[in-house]
Amino acid sequence: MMSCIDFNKYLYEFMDGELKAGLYPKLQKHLEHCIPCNQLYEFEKQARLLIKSYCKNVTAPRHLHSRIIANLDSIDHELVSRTALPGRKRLKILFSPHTLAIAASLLLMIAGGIFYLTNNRQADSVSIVDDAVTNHVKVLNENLVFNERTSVVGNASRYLSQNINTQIRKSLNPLNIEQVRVVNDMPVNHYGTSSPCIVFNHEGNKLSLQIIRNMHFPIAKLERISFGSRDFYITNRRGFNTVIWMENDTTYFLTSDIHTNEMLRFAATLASH
Amino acid sequence: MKGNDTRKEFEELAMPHVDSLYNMAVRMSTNKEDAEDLVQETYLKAYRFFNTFQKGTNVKAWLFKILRNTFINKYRKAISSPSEVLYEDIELVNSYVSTNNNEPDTKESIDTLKSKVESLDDILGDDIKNAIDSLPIEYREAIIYSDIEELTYKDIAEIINVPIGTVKSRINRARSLLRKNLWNYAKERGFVKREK
Repeated sequence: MMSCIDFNKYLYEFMDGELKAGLYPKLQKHLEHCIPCNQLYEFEKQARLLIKSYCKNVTAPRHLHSRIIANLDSIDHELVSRTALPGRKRLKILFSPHTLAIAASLLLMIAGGIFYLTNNRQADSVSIVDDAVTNHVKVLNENLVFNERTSVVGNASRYLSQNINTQIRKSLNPLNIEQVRVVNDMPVNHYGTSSPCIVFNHEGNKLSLQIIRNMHFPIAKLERISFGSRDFYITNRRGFNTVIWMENDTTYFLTSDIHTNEMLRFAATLASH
Repeated sequence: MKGNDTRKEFEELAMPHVDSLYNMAVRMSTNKEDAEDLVQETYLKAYRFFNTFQKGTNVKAWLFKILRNTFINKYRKAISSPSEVLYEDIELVNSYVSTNNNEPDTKESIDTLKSKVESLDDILGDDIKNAIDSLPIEYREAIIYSDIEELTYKDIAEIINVPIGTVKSRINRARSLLRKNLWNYAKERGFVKREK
């Protein structure tokens, strides 16, 4: 016969249905024979019911449903109009299989430089931004919050110059926390594209920075903005903004869902002067 | 581009959970307007990234995860993983559920809870609301995932991104705190039997 102590130890898991199968009959038997434990069980049951029935009374207002549906409509609409955009078409021609093949053979000579493009099924000029966005979304979904101390904006360029990994990794594994390592107080992780993605927690907003070495991103068609003494390029994918700039042979992709002006200011602090 | 089928599938899977998400959003932001925005944004993101949803997994848990991350990002409240001291949790839970007679204090607290409240039904809705809302945010969400939404430990672990062991101890801690809060309200309102 199970003791009261054991019964109490397993009570929550018993009620949650999270026990090892063999234990249920033992707890059930104890429950039938022990009055104090039975009372406790009943109390617990009543408490849960009470809390649940209160919360289940809270329902979403009608207008919220219609607002959500209207939102979904606008996304559908946005996606349709975006694929019909002529500018996108020109970019695709520019990156026709032929030019891509030439570019590929050239880049293959640079160690590892092309792995990304050839391995990507949709190797058009924007796919790398899509990747930056995807990585950023993963960062958000994996809830990677780095504290202010480890993502100090002012020191970022210092870290960047030291910790960029130029090794090409072809895997597109989803990010998980184990893949993050801290180098000199700076979180760095390897996933997605070949470059490390650095996450900044800037006043509570998350910005992901992806760095691609030996890679010239075709940015001529993107919106150009001069900020400070530098040119930045801006694009928007799936609701996220990406600010792109280049230094020497390295391209930087800063992605977030905050306003582009704020991102530009942040990007300017990252870009070396 | 999303076809009509995707849209239909999304609505069928995700829309039945509006009330659950809204309830969570209200409990987290404690403000109806913020809660509405939060739920709206969650659905926007979910639809945009519906292709990342793994079919066959719990769609409600997936939506909760997006809601949670949106909330953190937007309201900058850190419901991070507080470095809980495990033994403290165990101790607290035991102090409530244990019937070990060697500990008179513990025994007392169970007695007060289970027999001195005449009936839990007497506790008013407002008291329940306050008892939940006064919990620290990470316990508040734990209660909602476990006691209200009845998600599995595994799904909860997935949403809040902590190991299952931590989920268990956090839920237990949340429950014991909530029972304590409820009891205090009951006492204030005189629903608890007078002590001699």
